[in-house]
Amino acid sequence: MSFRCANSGCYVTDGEACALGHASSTECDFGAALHAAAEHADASMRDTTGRVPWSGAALGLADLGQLTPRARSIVIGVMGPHDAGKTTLLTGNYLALLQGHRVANAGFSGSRTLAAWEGLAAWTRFDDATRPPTFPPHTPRAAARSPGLLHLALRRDSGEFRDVLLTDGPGEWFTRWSINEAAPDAEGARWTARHADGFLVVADCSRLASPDYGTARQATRSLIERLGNHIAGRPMVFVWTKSDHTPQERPRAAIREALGAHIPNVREAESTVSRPNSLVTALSLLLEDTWNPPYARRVVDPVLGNDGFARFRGRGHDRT
Amino acid sequence: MTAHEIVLLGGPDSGKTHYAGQLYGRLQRRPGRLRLRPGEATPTDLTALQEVLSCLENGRAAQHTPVSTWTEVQLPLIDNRGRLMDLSWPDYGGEALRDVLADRVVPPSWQARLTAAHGWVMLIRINSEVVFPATLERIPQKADAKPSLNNVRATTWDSNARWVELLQMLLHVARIDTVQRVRRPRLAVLLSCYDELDAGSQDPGEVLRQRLPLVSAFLASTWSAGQMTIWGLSSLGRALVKDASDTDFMQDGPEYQGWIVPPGGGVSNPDLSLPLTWLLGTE
Repeated sequence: MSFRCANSGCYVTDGEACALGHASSTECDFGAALHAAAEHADASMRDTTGRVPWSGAALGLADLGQLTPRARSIVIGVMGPHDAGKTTLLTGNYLALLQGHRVANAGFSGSRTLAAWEGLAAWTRFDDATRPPTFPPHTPRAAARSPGLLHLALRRDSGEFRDVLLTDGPGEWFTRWSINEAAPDAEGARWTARHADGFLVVADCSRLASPDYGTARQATRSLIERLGNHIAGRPMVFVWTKSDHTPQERPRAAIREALGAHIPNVREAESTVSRPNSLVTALSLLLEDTWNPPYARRVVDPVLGNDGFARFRGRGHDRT
Repeated sequence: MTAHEIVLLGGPDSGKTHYAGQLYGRLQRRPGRLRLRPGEATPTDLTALQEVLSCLENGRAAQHTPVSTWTEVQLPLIDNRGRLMDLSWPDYGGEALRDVLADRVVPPSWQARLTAAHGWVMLIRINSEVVFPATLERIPQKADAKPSLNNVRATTWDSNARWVELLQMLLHVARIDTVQRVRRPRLAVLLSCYDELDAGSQDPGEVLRQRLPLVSAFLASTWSAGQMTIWGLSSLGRALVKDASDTDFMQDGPEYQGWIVPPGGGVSNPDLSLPLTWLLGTE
């Protein structure tokens, strides 16, 4: 039987120092009456029976263990410079689902992060005359080692069920990462590049249309070039956001050239909030590509040596 | 004889008590497919329904059920093919359901019921749900409209999200897997106060799809086809008030008031026990 201190904030029995600073638990008033802890543990078990393992806020890595074992999950890495419209792209998809639209030909089947979605959507709503609707605010640049993950469960009519996890990271991560791959404050970008099943890379057309297009082109191109080293054949959709602005022709051509050189099989989409459906189309395009996992490559026996006894590699292999 | 439990889910003011009262009146005095068993027809304990029954007899609306209330009426039933069943019908203050969302805890007593229940009945009063219109394309695109970080918005959840979150929590707590479509428990969604909506004989499923699209999508993709139905319910057929009597209503008696629109729409039916008949699989 284990014992606990009668002071509930004291963990002296777990090997920590006495909460009141006494050298030995016998000197402490509370410690004189160490309580049997068995019943306590039982009570806390009972307390948790009616609880659910999610809070509604964006998911962290610790939450993934609760979610990913149940079905195939798709991690979508959303990348792009600061203020290019990454969060608005995600919010637009949630708002479309709220209106009953389908994403990637699949129906909404729940979400573990409804509080986070509602928090983002609240910015766009007219619920108070003193606060006009705006786009969601800048995603805070945290020291987190992984981006916040927004969750959607989707099901097609055939019954196929997918957990879609969308990364919502601050643009600075990706800018830092494209400059210095090992940057300590780009851990979240590295996580995204390593674990995503597909990428949505966004470029801001309004900035490419402005006189300051050089900076925007540089940020986008260096991100593409960096991602080119890591993409390893995974699907990517390149989204021209805020496409009601027309970017200047030559910067756009330069970006397309970088895409062609570094990202094989890239697909392009345009999105603008004045046509909310275009935001859904962009995500759907990528989900179509990632819905089913890529086929495994055929296993080829490696040649380990030239020893005559290890030469037999199956019959009739080369004759066909 | 089988004992059946159902779980009744409905927020404050969604019409749980009125439905219970009218249902009892129907089963007792104007039965349809289901009726109370002759010989033991009057349930032993009617305390839970006493107030609503007397209010309705006088053409008045019943009082709000206090939060702490949890009562059950045991109804001994027989269907038109002679099968016997016992139904326990719960009634409680709707705030209890709202607290589940706020505290993110499902009380153990509920958990046991949710797990054991044969069917769930969900009452949604569409007109009192908060739904925000889509406004993304109308946001002014001004550079100076940039929000600052500390301008945190207090959020009122859209009702769509509230219902989905609630159902997700209840399904999880009842240990029901949603990766495969749900077959048990069956779910009957009743759009209460259907007379407020002027929907006529429109398909209630279509009404739900228009008014709460996310909930409708969630239900359709979570439950197996045929295990979830959507009904339009008007327990009283008209709006009654608490402190004045409606003479028309009083004259015939409450058992001649109220109707239900079956799934798929069509002519309204006075047999308020139809969703139960479906839920218990006796149709």
